[in-house]
Amino acid sequence: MASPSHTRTVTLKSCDDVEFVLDGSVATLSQTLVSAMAEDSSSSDDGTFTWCVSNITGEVLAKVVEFCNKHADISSSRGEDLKEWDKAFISVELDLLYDLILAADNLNIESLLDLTAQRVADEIKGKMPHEIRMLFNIEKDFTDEEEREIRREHAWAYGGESLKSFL
Amino acid sequence: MDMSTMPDEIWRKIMEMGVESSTLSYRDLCSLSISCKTLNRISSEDSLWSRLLSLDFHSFVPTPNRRPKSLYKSRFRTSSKRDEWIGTVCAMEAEVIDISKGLEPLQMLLSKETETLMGAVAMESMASETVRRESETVTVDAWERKILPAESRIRKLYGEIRACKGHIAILDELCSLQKQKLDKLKEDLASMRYHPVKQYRGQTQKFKLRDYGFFNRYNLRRKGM
Repeated sequence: MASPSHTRTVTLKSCDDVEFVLDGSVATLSQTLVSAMAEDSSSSDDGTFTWCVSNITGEVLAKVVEFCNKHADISSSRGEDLKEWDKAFISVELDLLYDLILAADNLNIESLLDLTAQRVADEIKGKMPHEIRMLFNIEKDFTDEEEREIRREHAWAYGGESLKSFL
Repeated sequence: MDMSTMPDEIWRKIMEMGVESSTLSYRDLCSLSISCKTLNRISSEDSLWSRLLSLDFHSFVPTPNRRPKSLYKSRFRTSSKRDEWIGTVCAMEAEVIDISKGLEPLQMLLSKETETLMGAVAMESMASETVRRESETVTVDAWERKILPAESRIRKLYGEIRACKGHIAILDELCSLQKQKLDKLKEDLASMRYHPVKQYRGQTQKFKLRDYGFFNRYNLRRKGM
């Protein structure tokens, strides 16, 4: 019988073999780890559990671990201070942000997923379609005819009609 | 970053978060729709537009057989929400005009100070030239008549030059702060005035403020003409 997850020590291993040791209580922020630990009956009762995350690099995992440590530490995790900390934490380049979202999704860490998703939403706000394409490296996959149609369909949201009646 | 490979459920999460926190508006969802097929599909989903309907029109009652996005569109047309856009654009244009007007006196002061500086520099070099020339033949007479007054003039000019440079530095900073504000505002305005059909061909070209009669008419109205 394995020990309860919060009393165990968890070793996270990145795809480039960087290891991070977490307290069991920190690891419980990740639903993926919680489920994995619950299913794991093979490991000994010495309280260690190792989990390999196949598609996350050490650099990204370090950020994830930093986030989990902060959020699991109840004494420091209160209200405005934590909000400020989160804001500074998530001020990263878009490439890292992208990796962080995938890591949050992979490890199923809800609070990190919320934070990263909100940051991407902030990036999208007020952008025009071609800017959104540029931002996310999206190929235009509409045919010219489809594109004209989709633009016409959405013209209502851009004040075009109001502009005419106003002038 | 290659977001095009991101799983649908993450995109969904991003849009849900954005709508819930009022970061993303109906307009942002429409811009997402125009950007590609995947984002069009996800950003048109009923749950998003239902939430937006209840956030933007509090008395929203779900209508059977009607998709929330199309319902939103018809509610939008008859609501005051479309006037909000005009209000915001007007306010932004007014601010652009105000900042531009505020920049004029600053720039005038700046060019006046620059002129004073150039005058002082020229006079300083003339006085220095006098000192150099006269000190080749130092006589007591030359010392008293020319070098001494020239040197005191040089000291005074140095003070003037320093003061001018100080003023110019302050004015420069003020100007560039205002210009930055103006540029940001113009950019936001361009995005507010963006129209997906009118700007389809000339996508990359920046929207010029004066391209529309809107600006000029508004300007004339402000002047009471």
